[in-house]
Amino acid sequence: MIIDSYAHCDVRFGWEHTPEVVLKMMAQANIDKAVITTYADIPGDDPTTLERFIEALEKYPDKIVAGFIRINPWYGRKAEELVEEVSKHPYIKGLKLHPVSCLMRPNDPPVLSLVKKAGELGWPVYFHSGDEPMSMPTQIGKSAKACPETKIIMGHTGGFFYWRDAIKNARKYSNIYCETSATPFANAIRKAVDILGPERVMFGSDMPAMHPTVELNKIEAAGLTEDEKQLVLCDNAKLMLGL
Amino acid sequence: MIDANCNIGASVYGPKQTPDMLLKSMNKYGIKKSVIIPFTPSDFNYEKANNYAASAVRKRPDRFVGFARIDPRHGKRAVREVDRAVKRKKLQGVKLDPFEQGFQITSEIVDRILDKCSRLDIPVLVEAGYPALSLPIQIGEIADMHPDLAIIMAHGGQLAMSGIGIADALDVIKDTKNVYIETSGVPETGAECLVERAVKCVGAERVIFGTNSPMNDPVVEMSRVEVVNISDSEKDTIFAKSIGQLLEIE
Repeated sequence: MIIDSYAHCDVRFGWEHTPEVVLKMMAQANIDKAVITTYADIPGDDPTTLERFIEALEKYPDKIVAGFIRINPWYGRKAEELVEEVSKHPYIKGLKLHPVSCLMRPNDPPVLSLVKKAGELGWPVYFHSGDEPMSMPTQIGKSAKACPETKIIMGHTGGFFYWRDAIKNARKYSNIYCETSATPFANAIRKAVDILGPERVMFGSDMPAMHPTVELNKIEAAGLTEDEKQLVLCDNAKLMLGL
Repeated sequence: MIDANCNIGASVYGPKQTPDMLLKSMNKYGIKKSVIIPFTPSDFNYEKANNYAASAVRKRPDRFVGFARIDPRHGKRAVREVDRAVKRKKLQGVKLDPFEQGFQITSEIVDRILDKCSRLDIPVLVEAGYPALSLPIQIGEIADMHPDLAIIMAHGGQLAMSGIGIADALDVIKDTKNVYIETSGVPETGAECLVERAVKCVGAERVIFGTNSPMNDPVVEMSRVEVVNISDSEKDTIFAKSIGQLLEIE
């Protein structure tokens, strides 16, 4: 079984990435289950985002099995209340934070409050990491240090230029997990598995923006053993999200 | 299949690949020809590095085509090196890496290199997508100044996985006739991806397959093109004809 720990459903940027688009791509790449988030931050300029997110989560619950709510930390207390409120939803199981889209660093106080809150709920926090000045793995490391009770997913393992920093920070803080999508280097995944252990690396595709076939080829190219693949492609996400 | 972006030699930054290692990988993955470019060498002797690429091409002209790595900071010596590499060493293009060789692609020291390449009628492959150094919009600027020069924008001008530079890259290829997109590492391989939109905007002839070997894996890089929602003949063009036409090779 393959669980994709990072996919998107949303209508934004002229894209219509509906649950059906995601399901079609999952079928193409033989992915069994996916975790989704949105492109828009909540709350934000599009007040219908949350409603669509919940609709997407409830439509195919055997395929789209969980969601990370993409929170805008600039809303402060209101954002925390929203997290509290949606935590009752059975399929919302984590936070997504995009420091560039919100222009707030992973280690700024309103973000840290949300990261702590997630920890209290037993939720992981997925951070977009790498390639832009507000999403450096070392900034995410500071957040991980400040919130040791929260599991932090280093999205994209630092991307093009910061995969070494991503692994370095994950090595320093044991509550960091590396997610594999979008970084172009299979070698970064190989190194993450070697240095952190296969229990702390999770497959994600970033579909539909990225193609899951390309992303799975990257896992193949990383040359993992069958046991390592079992953890990276399935068991780690299952355990973290209680699937 | 032609791979338009392979590195050979030993990089001062760590990676290594001999021409024999590359040949083995080409045979394994069905790549007929590769454009080989010397890594930035630890002695910073670019003449020697370019000779290394040229000698690999001399040994296997059926499999390799060579590009010269040029350091524009060397001023007139760099311009002479372009001339020597092309006329005497039979290399067929120039690679410019603004990060490894330390310059902005729009700076004056680069201008004379671009002029020289334009006069010699050889393409320039630019490591593109570095903030401040070679963002797509900056590639557009040099393309406007050198309308007869073929400029290959490596990695679709991204060098980041967020995709926030894609709109500029598409604008640049639409607004110019002389900029090409090279596909290694491009983000957004999925629905309505960069390569698909580029093909629909300007045609597959302006999109060039490359792997950025040995850092990137050939199978992953091939699949970046294979999964795109375009016709098989457009894919053939990306995999071989675009670069073939530009370098007059098959």
